[in-house]
Amino acid sequence: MSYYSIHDFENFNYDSKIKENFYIYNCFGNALTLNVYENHLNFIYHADLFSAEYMKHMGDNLDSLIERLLDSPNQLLKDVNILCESEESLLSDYTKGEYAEVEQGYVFPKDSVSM
Amino acid sequence: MKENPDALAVDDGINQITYGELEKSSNSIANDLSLNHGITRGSHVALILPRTYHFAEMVLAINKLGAAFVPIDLIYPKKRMQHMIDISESECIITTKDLSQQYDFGLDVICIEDLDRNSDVEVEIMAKGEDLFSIMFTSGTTGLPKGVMSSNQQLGGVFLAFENIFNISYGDLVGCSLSFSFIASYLIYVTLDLGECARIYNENEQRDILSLIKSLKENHMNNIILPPSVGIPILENEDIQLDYLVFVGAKLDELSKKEINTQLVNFYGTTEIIFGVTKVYDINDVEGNHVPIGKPVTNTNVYILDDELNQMPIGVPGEICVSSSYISPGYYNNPEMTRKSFVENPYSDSEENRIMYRTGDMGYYNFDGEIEIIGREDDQLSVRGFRIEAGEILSIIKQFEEIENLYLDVDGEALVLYYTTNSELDIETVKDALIEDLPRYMVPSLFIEMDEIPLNLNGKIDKVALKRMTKEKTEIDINDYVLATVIDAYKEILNTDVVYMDDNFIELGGTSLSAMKLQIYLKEKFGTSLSSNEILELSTPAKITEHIKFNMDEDAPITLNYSFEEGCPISNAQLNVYLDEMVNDMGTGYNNPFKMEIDSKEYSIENIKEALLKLYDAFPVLKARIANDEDGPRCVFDAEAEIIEGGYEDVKTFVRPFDLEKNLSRFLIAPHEDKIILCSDFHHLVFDGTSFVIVFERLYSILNNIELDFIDDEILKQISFEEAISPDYENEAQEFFDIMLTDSDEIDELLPSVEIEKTVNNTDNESYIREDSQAVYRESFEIDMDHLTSFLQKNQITPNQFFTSVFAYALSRFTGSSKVLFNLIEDGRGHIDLSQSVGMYVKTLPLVIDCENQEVNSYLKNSAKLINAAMKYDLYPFHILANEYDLNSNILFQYSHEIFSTALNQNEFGFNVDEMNHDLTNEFSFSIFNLGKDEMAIGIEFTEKYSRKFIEQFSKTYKTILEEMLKVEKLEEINYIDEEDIKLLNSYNETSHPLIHNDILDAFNENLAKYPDNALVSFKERSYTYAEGAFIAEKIAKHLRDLGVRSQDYVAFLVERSEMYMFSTLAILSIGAIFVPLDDGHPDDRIEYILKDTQSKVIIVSDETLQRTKELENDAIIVNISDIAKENNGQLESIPI
Repeated sequence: MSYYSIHDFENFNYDSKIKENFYIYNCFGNALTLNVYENHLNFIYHADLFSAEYMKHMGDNLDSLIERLLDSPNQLLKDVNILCESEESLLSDYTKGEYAEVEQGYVFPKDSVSM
Repeated sequence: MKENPDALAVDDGINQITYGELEKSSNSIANDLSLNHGITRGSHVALILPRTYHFAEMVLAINKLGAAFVPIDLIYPKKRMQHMIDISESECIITTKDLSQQYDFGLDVICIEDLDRNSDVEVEIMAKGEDLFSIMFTSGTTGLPKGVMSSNQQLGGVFLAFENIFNISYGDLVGCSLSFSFIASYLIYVTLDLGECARIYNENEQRDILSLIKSLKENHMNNIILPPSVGIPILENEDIQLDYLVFVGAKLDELSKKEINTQLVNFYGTTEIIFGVTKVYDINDVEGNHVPIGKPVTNTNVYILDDELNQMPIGVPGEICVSSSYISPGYYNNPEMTRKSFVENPYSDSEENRIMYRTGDMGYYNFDGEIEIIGREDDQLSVRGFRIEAGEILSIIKQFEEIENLYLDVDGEALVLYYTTNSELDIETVKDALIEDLPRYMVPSLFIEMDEIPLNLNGKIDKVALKRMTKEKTEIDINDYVLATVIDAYKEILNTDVVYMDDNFIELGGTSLSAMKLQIYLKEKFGTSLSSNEILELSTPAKITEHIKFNMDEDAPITLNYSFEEGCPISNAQLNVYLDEMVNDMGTGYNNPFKMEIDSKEYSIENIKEALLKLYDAFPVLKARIANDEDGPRCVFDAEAEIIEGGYEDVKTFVRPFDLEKNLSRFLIAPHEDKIILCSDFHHLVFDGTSFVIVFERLYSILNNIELDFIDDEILKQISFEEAISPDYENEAQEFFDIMLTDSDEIDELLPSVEIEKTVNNTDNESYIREDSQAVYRESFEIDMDHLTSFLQKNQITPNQFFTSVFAYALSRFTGSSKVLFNLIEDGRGHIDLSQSVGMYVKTLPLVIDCENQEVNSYLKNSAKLINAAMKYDLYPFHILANEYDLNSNILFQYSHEIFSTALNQNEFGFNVDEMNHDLTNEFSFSIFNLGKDEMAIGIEFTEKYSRKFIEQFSKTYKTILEEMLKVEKLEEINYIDEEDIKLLNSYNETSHPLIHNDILDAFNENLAKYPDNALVSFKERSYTYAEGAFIAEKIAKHLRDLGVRSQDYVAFLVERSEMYMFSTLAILSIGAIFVPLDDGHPDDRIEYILKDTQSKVIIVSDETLQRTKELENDAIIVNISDIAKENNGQLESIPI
């Protein structure tokens, strides 16, 4: 079974671009449409459902995913990294709590030894 | 604690113990345990202790010996305790004498009463960092709880992370209210480690929220972990001092706007990681119930991963995986489970984060770098904050062979078990078995028997289908013959095996042809004619069933379950009014008083009295009063007729509140000149607008000797009818209102518009002002009724729907939002024939209408549909909706068809009837009614919340919109502001004004030249003229010029609020320099910053502020102008500036 969606090609607004031939637009029509043309892509998303930031990330993900798949078509799908570079550096930031030196050989409670 | 042995360590609500005492007793106990009970490094000791400070003593003593404790909650069933003792390989149990009687686990039992707590001994600390501190149990998949190990070394890391979150200091009090066997009890150890005092809530306090509140009020607490449902209301309603309210990965209810100094802390953790993610919120900044769990805590890495442990993009959910320096070493004696959950961290960059724990919780990073949690991946369930392994519950249930299939789910706050059976089973026995083995929170609160547990294509439980089937399960009355027949008809005609009550006819493959077949089928079965169009519109078996039932009910005689002798329960509509009366001071708000003038030549007082008594016989409902028994309020019909004979002066005091238990109607007969005044008053509990007409028509007949033997018992029929309504109706109504009222709390209300001038006082003439606090506005207007009628026909909507829609649109203009919420008053007589009955049948229906710009006809069509549906469900109790959705809209709309108004205005009865004054029940109640052929009237009752101007404006706008809506095509074309208003609005914007002076100096100089002796400024006792002021300013200016200040230089001044302020400003301006005022209230670094930022060369000070600026000598030249001003004995030689 296949699905087609028809949307109003006039009522969407430019949002951002991923690269020269990959643009993102917002509209209030369908939830999410990816249009693939011969030489360019565009993403049209429903602005009530997704934030521009989210879509920018999704665009970047898609873009790097396409490149990675083309670069190494023999890779297993599960091994393909979906993160784009900018996101990887963001995430390595997000995932780390502050670092602090922990006392080695700690015994509860802190002061009991010296008491 | 070394520095402060006298500081409190633990307070359990009864006893308190200091750090010094705790150290001494734990040493003594450790000594005893070691010498006499063989506890050594590596021993495991089960603690089954009540919530007292002894628990802390035991934990310390055991740890000093290098042994680990296993906390076991007293409320656990014995089987579970036994299991925990076995798994943890505990060597002995420490408990109390009392409790020891109950347990026989085949182990050495040590009672705390027997331990030596008072010896002064030094104990060598045997524990090393890697030694286990505790083994805590968490719910396990295999049906048995797992023992999570934690080491001393781990605790060090936890405390460090904890210290980095909270602002804590010695002596702070920390509330510990959770079970010793939950990970949250680590708060006690954190507290002791940081030298705070642990306030352990004992069992009584745990149960009694009032004592919790009491202790929170008495003490300033640093932090406490509480469920938000307990903590937030306390914060909002009680005056307490609490620095942090900690909650554990929970959602928040709506917060009030009260300023609260407490910060909220969202903790996320599991026994395996202790805690990993947190966020501190300022309670006043929390938006709605959106509370992300936050960022990784100190020394912790948190990843969002897929099954292959690949990182998920930002915003995309995955499993929350945590690695940290204080992750548990694993499950005790369970390497298999340990391997499964504690895995190599593929993102590790140091030894400390080599191992990662897979929590099984699903979440994602948002774009602020915070984690938001969305649920669980595995079979662990989370109910009211407890983590539960489904397996543990299921393994017990599976022992019952009668149960074939089962599935456990969490629905809201409830744990629900779905099951199928292959033979008779008393589910109570299953429940008992669960209660015997499991803590109470793990026993499902709902057991639902199913015919089958639905699976999806992947063989997993199909949750959507399950929900739907359950709904059906709970909705279908098995004996519902009509529904069963309709479903059979669907199956046969559409040639399908499975049809659910909510399935859509067209989606099942129905066509207009099959609709016709269904029509014939149903007609044969039920004798109901349902057109094929109606079938297509109703679409679902459920709706068709309801339709058929309603039509059957109309014809079928209703069995009367009640009589006037015995009385009857009150209806939901009556209950609304009754509750309102009980809860609020309604005054005469629900009275319906009327005054009639009757020609005394036609009827005598005796005639009237006799007629009234006959009226009571014809309408037994007039004899109603409310009786309260254990089943709640009821109507009984034995009240004395209250017919007062009085004088004209009694008319004024006639309207007064009813004593509902005495009677609900009264009359007054008072002769006045050549008239007889008949006043009547009926409580709304038994009376509505339509009743009025019926009562007075009847009275008219009686007075004119037209005999009617009809006794009105419809109220009993209506009650019986309402009671017979099927649960389907209620469920559908509920669903309908649910959908309509979602987000109704976000709809803007009408803004109050308080009257500025005092309201005109009540006078004796026919003014529409009743009292200061409330008023009635009436206005009649002409309308082309033929045109309106043809418009309504063309659009297929009823007048009620039309006038309501117009009102909704007007309201949306006044509230400024596209959606409006108001209550429609509907006569409620649509279910059975009530056309000749007196009673309270009107219904209040909340409506949310969307007035977003659209074509007028589609707007009307949509709102008509909505109003229709709402009216269909008008038997659904309004008070339930009002409660559930917190409907606080006080706006009422009512369209009355001719009846009421005609009676009032057309002397139909041969006597004048007037409505009498009484209190209002609503803030804004709008009614529109027909007055005659081409005339309509608007009546607005309003309280002091709205000004009369506003009400007039509203009425005017309503009329405008009403007219426009008949003309225009789109809502946005409606011009509802009239030309006068536009002129007025334009005039508000005319703000241009010619300048007299170019600048302030210009102005000053002109005044100086004209009025040198006028006062310029006065401060305290001293006053200065323009001339004097100019003189001083010039002296300051000269000084500044001498210091090299030139035009466009910055000059700062720090001068107190005095005349000096003005002189400095004038002086600086006169040089053309730029003045930089500094505030004495600013901190030093701010003043320094401003100086640097502006590069002010000079700073002007006075005697008072000199001290403040001493430090700034290096940054700017300091000029004290108090000295200059003091020399003010010179004369003004010329106009200096």
